[in-house]
Amino acid sequence: MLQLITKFSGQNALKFVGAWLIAHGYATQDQWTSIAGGIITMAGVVWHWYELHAHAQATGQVKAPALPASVVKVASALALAFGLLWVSGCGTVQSASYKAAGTTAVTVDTAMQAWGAYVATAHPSTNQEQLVKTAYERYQAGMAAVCDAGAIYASASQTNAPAASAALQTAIGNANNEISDLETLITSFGVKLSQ
Amino acid sequence: MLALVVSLIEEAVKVAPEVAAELKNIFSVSNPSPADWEALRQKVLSKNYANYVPASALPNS
Repeated sequence: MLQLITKFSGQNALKFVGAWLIAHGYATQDQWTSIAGGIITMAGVVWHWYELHAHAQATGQVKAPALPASVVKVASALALAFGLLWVSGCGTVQSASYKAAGTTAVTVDTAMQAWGAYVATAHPSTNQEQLVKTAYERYQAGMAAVCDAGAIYASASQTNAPAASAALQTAIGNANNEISDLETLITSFGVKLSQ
Repeated sequence: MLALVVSLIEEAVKVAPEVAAELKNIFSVSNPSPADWEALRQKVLSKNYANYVPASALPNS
C-alpha cells in the first residue's frame, strides 16, 4: 500500500508542479510534458522492474535475491524530491532544464546500479546485457547533446537565445526518447524474468 | 500528505546520503553557466557500462 501511495503521490506532485510552473510562466505545456516524462519514466522503470522481480521471486519463478531495497526507495523518492526542490528553487527555463537533466542523470545512475546488482545475482544473457549497454550508451549521447545545447544557451546573446532555447528543448526531447527506449527494454526483461 | 512526502524524502536521505548530496548540488545552481553544463556532461560520460556492471559477461566490458 505504501508503494502505491508513493507512486501515486509522486505522479501527482509532478502534475501539481507542472501546473504551477506553467501558470507562472516558467515553462510551457510542451516543455513540462517533456521534462516530467523523463522523470516519471525513470522512476517507473525501477519501480516496475522491482515489482516484477519481487512477484517472480515470491512465486518461485526466479531465485535471485531481490534488488537492493535502498536503490528502489531512492529512485522512487527522486520524483518527489525533484518536485519539492523545483518549487523552492526554480528560476528560468534554462535553470529548470539543468535541474531536470541533473535529476535525470542521478536517476539513471541509480537505475544502472540496480541493473549491475541484478546482473551479479541473476546472470541474464549476454544478448540482454548488450541491449542494455547499447541503450545506456544512447542515453549518454543524448544527455551529452542536452548539455552541449545547455552550454550554448547559457552563453547565448538575447538575439540568439530563442534559437538556442529551441535547440535545448529539441535535445531534451531526443534524450527522453532514449530514456523511453531504456524503459521498454528493461520492462521486457522484467517480463522474461517471470517466465 | 505533506508528512508522508517529507518522511519519504528523509528515508531516501538516510539510505543514500550520496544521492541526496548530488541532488543538493544540482539544485543549488540557480543560474547554470556553460561550465556547469560541461561539468554535468563530464559526469554523465565519466562512467561506462563496465563501471556499473563489474560482473558483466560481455567481452571487453
